[in-house]
Amino acid sequence: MLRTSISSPLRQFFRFQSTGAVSEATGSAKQLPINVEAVYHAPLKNPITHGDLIADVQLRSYDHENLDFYADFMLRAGFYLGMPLTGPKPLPTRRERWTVIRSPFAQAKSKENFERHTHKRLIRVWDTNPEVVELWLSYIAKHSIAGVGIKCNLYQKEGVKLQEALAQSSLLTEEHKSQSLDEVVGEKVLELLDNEAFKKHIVEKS
Amino acid sequence: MGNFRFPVKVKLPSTFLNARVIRDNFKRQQVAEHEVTTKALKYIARNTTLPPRARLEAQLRLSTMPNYTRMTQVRNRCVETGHARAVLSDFRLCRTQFRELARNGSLPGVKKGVW
Repeated sequence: MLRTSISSPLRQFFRFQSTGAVSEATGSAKQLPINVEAVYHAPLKNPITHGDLIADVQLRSYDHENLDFYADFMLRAGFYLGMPLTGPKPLPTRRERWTVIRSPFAQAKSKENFERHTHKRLIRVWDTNPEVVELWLSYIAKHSIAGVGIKCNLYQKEGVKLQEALAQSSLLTEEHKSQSLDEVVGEKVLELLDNEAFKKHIVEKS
Repeated sequence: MGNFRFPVKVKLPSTFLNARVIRDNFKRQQVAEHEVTTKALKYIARNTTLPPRARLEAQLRLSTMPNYTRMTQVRNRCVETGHARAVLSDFRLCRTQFRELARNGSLPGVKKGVW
């Protein structure tokens, strides 16, 4: 009895205080700071000036609530970094469905359906320096949300003579070249044909 | 080798273990190891520009390779129970385990299907 009588005015007091603080702020400054006010509206966007596509960021999740919230956060963070972003463009939702027999044995007429929806959103980055994109990505990764996957494709423009420069550079040596399965098999074929068991047949013929 | 039951010593899988699971896992590792050789021999055996004797030699070598080096011997098995039938390849689980875990909520995003 005593507890309830004490706690209820306390609660009221706290509630009064919180609303009081807001009303006081609005009363004195007439308005919230503009960046705080912006939270209540759709994310602001910088205009695209050059139309250079710098990066594609694809978000995936099994649940669209976290996904939309996170996409919103990305747009806001990007806006304050001065990046022109477009999106979030909803990409087709992937629906996977499975039908399994309910019972572990027999009774195969009774089945149960399960499904999984993968929601996807696409955010595109335009006209931005790679350093800024990197900063933005690291900030986003730092504040990533549970159950949302990020995939980022970065695009870079190079001169026409890139191929020549790559051929001369010391970065691509024999050790760094990765081999496809076909190349490995080709080498093995040559090695086998070089073997005397095969060689004698080939020499006989020619 | 000691008392290891397979001709080649391999690693054990980190799933549910029984004799059939271990046997299947052994085959998988051996198939992966012999993949390049098998493909090279098949290439030689099927290349009509090579002399017939060389092709026959390759075919003979292919047929003398042990069965456990063939991909057709590999069967998908349930990770939880080792069951070999009705295994959903998306989850590597058999239908009963899949249903149980899905109802439990242990498979992220999988819900009761209503459409």
